[in-house]
Amino acid sequence: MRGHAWINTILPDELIIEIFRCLDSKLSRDACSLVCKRWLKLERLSRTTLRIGATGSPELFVHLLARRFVNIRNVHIDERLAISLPLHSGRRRRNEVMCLPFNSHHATDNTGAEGALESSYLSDAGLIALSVGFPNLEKLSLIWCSNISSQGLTSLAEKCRFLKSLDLQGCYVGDQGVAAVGEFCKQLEDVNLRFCEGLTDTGLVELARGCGKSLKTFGITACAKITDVSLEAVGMHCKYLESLSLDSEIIHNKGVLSVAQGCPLLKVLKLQCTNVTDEALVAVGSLCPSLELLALYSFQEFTDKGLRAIGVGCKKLKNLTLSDCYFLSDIGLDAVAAGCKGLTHLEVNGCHNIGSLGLESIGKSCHQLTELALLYCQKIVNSGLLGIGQSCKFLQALHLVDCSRIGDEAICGIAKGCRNLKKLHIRRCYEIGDAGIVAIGENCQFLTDLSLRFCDRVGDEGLIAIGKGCSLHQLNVSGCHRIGDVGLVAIARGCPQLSYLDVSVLENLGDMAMAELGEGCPLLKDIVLSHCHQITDAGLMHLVKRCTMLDSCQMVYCPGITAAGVATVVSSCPSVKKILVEKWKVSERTKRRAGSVISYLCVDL
Amino acid sequence: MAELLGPRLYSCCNCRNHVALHDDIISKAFQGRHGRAFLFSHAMNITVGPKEDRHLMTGLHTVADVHCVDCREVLGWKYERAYEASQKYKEGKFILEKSKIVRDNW
Repeated sequence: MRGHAWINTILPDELIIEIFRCLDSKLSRDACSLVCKRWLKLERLSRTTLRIGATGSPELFVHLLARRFVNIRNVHIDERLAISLPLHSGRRRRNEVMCLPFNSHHATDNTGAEGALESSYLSDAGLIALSVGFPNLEKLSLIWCSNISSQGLTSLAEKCRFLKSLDLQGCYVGDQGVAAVGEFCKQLEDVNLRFCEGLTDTGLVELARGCGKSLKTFGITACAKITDVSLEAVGMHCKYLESLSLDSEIIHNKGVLSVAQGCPLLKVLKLQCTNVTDEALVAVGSLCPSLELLALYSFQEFTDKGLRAIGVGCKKLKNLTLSDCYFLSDIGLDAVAAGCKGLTHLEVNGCHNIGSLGLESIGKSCHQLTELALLYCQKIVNSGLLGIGQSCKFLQALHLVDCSRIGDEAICGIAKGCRNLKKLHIRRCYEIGDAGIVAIGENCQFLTDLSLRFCDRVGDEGLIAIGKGCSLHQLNVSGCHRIGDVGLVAIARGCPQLSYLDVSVLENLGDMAMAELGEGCPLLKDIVLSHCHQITDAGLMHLVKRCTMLDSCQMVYCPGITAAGVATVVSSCPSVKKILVEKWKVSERTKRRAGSVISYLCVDL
Repeated sequence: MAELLGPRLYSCCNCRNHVALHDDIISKAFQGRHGRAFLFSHAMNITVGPKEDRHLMTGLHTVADVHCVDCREVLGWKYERAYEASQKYKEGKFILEKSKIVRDNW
């Protein structure tokens, strides 16, 4: 028979399911579901993850989903995400969801709820329906489900014994629910609690006791009633804990010490606790030899003493982040460099006392460094980066923000020494100019992601060298006002693989560059043209005529672009998903054609 | 189906740099140099200039101009000190002029 799909009838179900397992985007899966009834049935069998937003009738929704998708393992419910229905198009506030007619059916489902207000949020009945429908649930995420309580979570724990990962954010679940999870879910590996104001130490102790043998990852953020007592329980029962993440003002050294003592396999530690001091760090240094990732955030009381202990004890450290640790200085970083020679990622953010000497030590000892980020480091001068350039041959990513004393000399050193550089992001480093960028272009042939934002000494010369030497995929030159058509033309001719381009706030960029970009970069997907005063409809037209794969376009504050230009973008790029433009530049016809794709700049405050 | 509900942000009118959160607005009824202005409890990605004494409509204040950190456009000012008891609540807070900021709908 002509046109008959032979292969579809020969392929067995199992094989088609295997193929569907390789589909990772919802769009692909949905497209396959629409092919025929058989594919619809098989796709539903192979779907393992569901993401649910705030619906008007969550219980009904869960029932439907449970009937349709029987092999679900991961459920992610986020009630901050409202579905924008056709009735309320354009208004995405959560309150709007309650105006749906479904409410009246479900007011009776919630025995404890009062009024139609709460029946639109997932309730305990909904959780129970979830557990009945998906007994093989492995990962559950409940985000801002303000209407569920211990009752629902207990029932879920009883039925979903294979639960591996639990993520509760902004839910008012109480201790009994969490204790029940500890009692029934013996395979629980990951727990994340954020803004869970109903939980106290009692519940968490039971959880630690129950899941102690399986728990690997534990995170607490802003849970007002969880204290050191919970951490002591974790230290006592969770011998296999690998990752701990704490963001809390009521946790003290005692808690962290207990975990350090009880969890020798700890690999990841992230601390944002204003009351934790060096004592805890020293303990971690001596008791956690397996530590691979350490992140210290905000207004800490850590000094070089603590960091030195880490350098001495945590020889396997690979990833170090120091953010706003005001008291840390070069001495501490020096100690880390000496002890942790396997360091691959380093981020120093706002630590105003760390200077170049510490960086030079890192350069001398840590030859495996692949990523370096220096943000708001006013004390670091060229010698620090030169040290890195000399020895860190494997550096792939360099990120500099507000390092006003780093100049061309340092960038040239990096360029010559780190030839494997793939990503270079520089923002507001006013001493860096064309000389440094030319060196990058001449030496770093593997560079694919370049971002030079508001570096007002960089001009066309730098971009010409980049165009010659690097095949970029992503380029951002926002605010570098010396750059004009000449530079962008060089990029257009030299980087055919370019998919992301941000040229916003460039006063000297005009239509010629746009035309060349259209010619040279057909793979362009995202472009930001905002605040470019010299680009007009003509240039825009040349660009979009050739760059038909455009996904997004931002063009606000471009006086040369009119409604005609906007209409051209809409008609030339069939797959465009987002356009940002002023409301008065969108004609009625364009509005009808493009609809939800267009976002308007909101000056009406 | 759903779009990620991020925090509602205000950006610099000159360069799209994010400077404030909608949640940090304390009042929308202030008067700036060029028209209406908002009082924010926090501002981000801004630099604070030198302090000066100014006579504003509500009395003598020590203020410091606030600039966008990227394009350095003056967006408003920060109240460093207020000399009348009824104005003390403004200390440490930021005025951003309505004409200098846009709401980020992206």
